[in-house]
Amino acid sequence: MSTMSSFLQECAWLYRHKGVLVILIVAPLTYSLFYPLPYEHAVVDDVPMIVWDNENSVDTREWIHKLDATPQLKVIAVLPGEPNEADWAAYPEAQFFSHFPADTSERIGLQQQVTIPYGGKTDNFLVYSTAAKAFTLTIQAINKDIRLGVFYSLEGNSVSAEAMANPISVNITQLFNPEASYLQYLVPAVFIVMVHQILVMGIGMHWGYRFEMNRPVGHPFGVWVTHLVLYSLIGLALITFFFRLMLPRQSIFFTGNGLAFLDVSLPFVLGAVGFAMTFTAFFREQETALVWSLPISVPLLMISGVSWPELGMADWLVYVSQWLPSTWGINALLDVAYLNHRPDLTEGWRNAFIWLSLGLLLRFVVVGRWQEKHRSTGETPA
Amino acid sequence: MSGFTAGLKREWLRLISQPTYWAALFLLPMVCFVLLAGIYSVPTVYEVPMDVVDLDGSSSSRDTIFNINASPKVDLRQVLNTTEEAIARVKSHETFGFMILPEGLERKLSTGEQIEINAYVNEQSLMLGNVLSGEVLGGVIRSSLSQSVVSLMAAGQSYDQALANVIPIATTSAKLGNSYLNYQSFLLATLLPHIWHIMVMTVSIIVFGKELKDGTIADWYETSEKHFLTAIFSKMLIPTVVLALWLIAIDVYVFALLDAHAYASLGALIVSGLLTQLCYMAIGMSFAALFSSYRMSLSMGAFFTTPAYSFVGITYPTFNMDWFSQTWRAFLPVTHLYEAQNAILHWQAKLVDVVPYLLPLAGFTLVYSLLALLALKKRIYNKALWYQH
Repeated sequence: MSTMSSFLQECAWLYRHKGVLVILIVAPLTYSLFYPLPYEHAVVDDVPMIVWDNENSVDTREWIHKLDATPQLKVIAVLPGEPNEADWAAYPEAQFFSHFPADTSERIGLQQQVTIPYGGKTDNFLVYSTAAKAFTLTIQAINKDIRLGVFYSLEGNSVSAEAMANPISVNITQLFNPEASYLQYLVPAVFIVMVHQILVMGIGMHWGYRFEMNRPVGHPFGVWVTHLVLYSLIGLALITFFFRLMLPRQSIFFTGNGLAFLDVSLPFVLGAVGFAMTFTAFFREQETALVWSLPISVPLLMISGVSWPELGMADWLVYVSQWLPSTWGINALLDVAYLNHRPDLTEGWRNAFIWLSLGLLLRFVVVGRWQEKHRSTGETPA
Repeated sequence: MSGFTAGLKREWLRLISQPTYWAALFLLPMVCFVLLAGIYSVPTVYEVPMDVVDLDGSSSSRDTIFNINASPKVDLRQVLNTTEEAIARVKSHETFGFMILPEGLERKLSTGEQIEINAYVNEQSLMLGNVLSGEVLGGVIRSSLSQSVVSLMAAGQSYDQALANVIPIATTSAKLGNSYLNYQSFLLATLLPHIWHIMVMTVSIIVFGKELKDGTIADWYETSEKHFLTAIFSKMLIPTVVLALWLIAIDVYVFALLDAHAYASLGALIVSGLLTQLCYMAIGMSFAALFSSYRMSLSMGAFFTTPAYSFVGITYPTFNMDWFSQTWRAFLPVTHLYEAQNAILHWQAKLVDVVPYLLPLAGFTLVYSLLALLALKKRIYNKALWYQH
């Protein structure tokens, strides 16, 4: 079978193959609408907290109002007395607590330091860290107000008092994700993994179809070229769909222009196509690609280092990860989209070359073995 | 040979002759577990790289740098001269933030003028950005407060008095549950069951879906002497045992990793997991019997299990989710496993304490088991459906 007839046959199969079309069209659409749903709020706020106010003074009531006014915290109950298990159990929705002891204002008036305990459930790190940060910043602001009063009484003018009460101030600017949006942090990376996995599943099903249905296997080079062209275009279309349509729908806008995007999308997509060809070369059924792709999706995302940093990974895994097209692709696309940075393309093109070559080689091996088997058994594929 | 033994033998032969089947049961869980264990190889992250742009080059700026670098969570990589270099290094992921110490820092400190320090963190890497924000904020505030204390002591106050005036309200924190903020307990211990539950679902669909796809129902049914329950049980025994062994291996590994034997109940965790396994096996059987093709069953199984981790409330709080996500979460059986696991691993719950979480799981198991049996019965008893998959 010639390269051209292989090309035409592959295109015809893809057009008729409902299973692959579902994976290529319905899955991205469904997942891109469904997956971001839990993260649509994007940030953590209104963490339910309870306060044991054992003083119930003007000061403590004002401080509690300040805590409640913090967007990240929501005081759901102010209770008298000391922290106790019965109260805590009575508010199962509470994630955070604090306690103002009975002599708080009196001790501050006597220029004695007072210690306020706070804490919370650490079932969800994001909730605990958000609440703890909001709480400590509020207490620091209260401390600053009190300190300012002390220095004002010493210095007699507010400029000096301000400088002495707060000699070094710090401003922290959040780069690239100014709102610290959890949605922007996680969902684009998930979408890129989705592109990778859709290509693996599509190519695997498309490849397995010929063996399962006992159809002509086609010329390996012709089929390779066809899959390379078709699925690269599909990969680029999916990236455009996610970044141009679905992410802006979630108010996540990218900074790079279309050409900068193509610059990194192309090596990523080619690498993913090559990886898919290699990964699925020995698959004989359409469903095999689904079974093998599902469980590895989460590890692929995590290995990329966007969710859990390389700093915390085993060295051998960091080494392995750099050969995966998904690792480079996720980081490179995020660099262009949100860091306005053109990454080094060498690794991306290197991976694309290696995986595509390996895919071609394995397909020659598989087709050769298949044809040999049929020659020896005297069967002819339908 | 009894129908059960014959069915069991037939299933074993199917298992070893179908690469996808044994890969789903043995190889893929192994690969995923090794990868996840390698990813979360440490309980928490230390030494997050950052730079400092020191425009003052004084002993005071070096003191501030020393204060920041003293934190085990920060790894100060370079002291640079320009902001451009620092930004370029953040963009190329060599660091995750930088701090600018302004010119005149020492002079302003000695003359009592206020100083403003700017720090920049890469918040696209949310976790590391937050670590650096906290450490820089803490380090600079400590420097600032020590200056204020010195000022008050110079005015004649005792150290304690000055400290009380500068920091009138000190705080102390209590972390409840996962006291050491151990990411292995938080993420690894939850991702492993996540992958496992995907495999339970997938294997259950393979077991029945492949039979329906291959049109071998008659052979399967006849091997089990045409006894419906014998056919089902002989078919499910091997995958059930292997998947249960995987679950036990995960739980034992998690317990060993967290050194949880002293305070948590391994038995309760295993029982919760086994109930979850039964539930997802029943769901897998239902999907295989109800959907029109093996491929469709696998796709629906993927849709039901793969995104579940986002909805269960581990990475993002449920109280900030919309009503749909909260409802979907409630109907995911694995949610209840996670609730039970959290209670066992972090709140020292025993088996009796997690019964409230296991009840909905048992309810789901019952409903899906009945559904699976009815749907499969229809498939098996109706010869017209044997080859329609």
